[in-house]
Amino acid sequence: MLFPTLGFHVFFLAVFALNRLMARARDWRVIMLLLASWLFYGLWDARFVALLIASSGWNWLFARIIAAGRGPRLAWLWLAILGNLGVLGWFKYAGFLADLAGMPLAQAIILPVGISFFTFQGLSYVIDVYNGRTRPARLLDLTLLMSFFPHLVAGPIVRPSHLLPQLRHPPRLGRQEAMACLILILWGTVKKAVIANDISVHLVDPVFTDPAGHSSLELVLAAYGYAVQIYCDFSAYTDMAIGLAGLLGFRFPRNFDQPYRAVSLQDFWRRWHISLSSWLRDYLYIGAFGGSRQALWRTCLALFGTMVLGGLWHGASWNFVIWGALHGGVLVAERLWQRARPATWPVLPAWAGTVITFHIVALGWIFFRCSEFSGALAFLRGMAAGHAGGAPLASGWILALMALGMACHFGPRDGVQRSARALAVMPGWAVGLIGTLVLLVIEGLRGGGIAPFIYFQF
Amino acid sequence: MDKSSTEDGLPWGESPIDLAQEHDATLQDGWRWAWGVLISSSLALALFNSHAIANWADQLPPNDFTAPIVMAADAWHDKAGQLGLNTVVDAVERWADAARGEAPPAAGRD
Repeated sequence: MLFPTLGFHVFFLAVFALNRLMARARDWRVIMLLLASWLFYGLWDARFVALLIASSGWNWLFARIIAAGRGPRLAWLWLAILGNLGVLGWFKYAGFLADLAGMPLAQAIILPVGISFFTFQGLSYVIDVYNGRTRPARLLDLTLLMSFFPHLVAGPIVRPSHLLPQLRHPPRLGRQEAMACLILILWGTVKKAVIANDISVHLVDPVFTDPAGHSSLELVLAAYGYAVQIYCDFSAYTDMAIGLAGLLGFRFPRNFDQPYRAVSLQDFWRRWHISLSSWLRDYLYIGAFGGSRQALWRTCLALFGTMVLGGLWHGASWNFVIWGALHGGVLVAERLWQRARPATWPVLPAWAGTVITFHIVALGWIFFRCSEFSGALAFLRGMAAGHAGGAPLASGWILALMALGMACHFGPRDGVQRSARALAVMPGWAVGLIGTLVLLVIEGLRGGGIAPFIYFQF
Repeated sequence: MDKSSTEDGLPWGESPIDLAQEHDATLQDGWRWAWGVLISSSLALALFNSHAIANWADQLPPNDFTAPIVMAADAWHDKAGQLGLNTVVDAVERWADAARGEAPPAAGRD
């Protein structure tokens, strides 16, 4: 079930009403949200609901054992981690590793939607319990943390210490908060159904499918187009997830913060998929690799290794490894440059940093988008060749959508909150009619069906 | 809500929906207000967006149970067209097709 569809609309109305009716019946509310989440997930593939429940049970069990303090806690932690990584590895990397070993699998393994997200949720829970950062949760609460439908299939990765305490209190929802949620849902629908979909269908997909058949200018525009598409697609999902969870009384963290405004790659990772980058920082870069409180070369190695593994998290492909290595390499270079830059040298203006960072990110997206390394190389060769010709694919309409996707980076950071304050004074029916008008315009603007979100494949 | 409150787990200000509530009592209960928004927009969409209902029905698996649903959705789509309720979506669609440089679709959309 996709968010911006009629089926989901009806589903959410029912969940919203039941959530309100059960606001003070804590356990029944959790059970209702769990059943709704399993229904939501089961409509993709009912078999994997059992995997979701088993994964929750595994992490709950080991967290209890670790919290009880009996026996070798570190060994229990490692067993819990290996269990999580084993499941993730089987579904996501077994085929890739078998191919590498020259023994391809007879049958492809179906990847459960959102497995990377709910596995990371489970991992952070057991690690946090081990480190004393969160209290052991009830099985019911932990299962909801890992299954909750707004963030189940594509994040944001919500920390146990952020979500579990919210289950202990009756949900609250002010009118302005509700308005902010509705704006996020509507704006997310515009970004996904109009901007990302049209750029994908009319520019990015045709050019990336056949780079040799297009001019260098089209390849460059498609690379820029993909940068806008992936931002509008993924940030749309998280905007909607935050808005939907908010209407049910849950506060999810911000996941995007105008990422293409970043003045450095380090800054970019503070703004892009914040819940994943902070997860990688806390559990891998600092937790597993020691962070920056060690020798410089070890810090650089930790940074590079974290980004390569972050690349692999996205999928079993050399292109994701290269994407991660590119980001890791540039982050290391930035760190070394911070240390080595002569103090008397002029500082790069912020706009130049933004332009350079955007182009490094856009270069990385080419590897991210292409399924094969050879395809990415062909794309880059085509860009550099200077081929002219052909009727341009990028119409004025597509260029306008790309400009709109970029323009939202340079508007006010608190635009949603300001609009929410202004609109929340209106009666509900009036806001409903305004929302309807926006949705009717979206229905007319969207070119065809709604494609699945890009991050569903991870 | 107090801006320093962290009792909800996530520190205050880290969610895009964090807005300090004004002391106006009419702004406190967002549930009823949001319910009004959702119901009014759902009814208006059922009236003015029969495209979405017809598209949804067309994607149902064909069987004896879904056949009358598909027929009813298509009948409502036709009726809404005759009553002029699809005007907004049709007009925007024509405008968007012209902007894309495409001919408008002859049949229903997917």
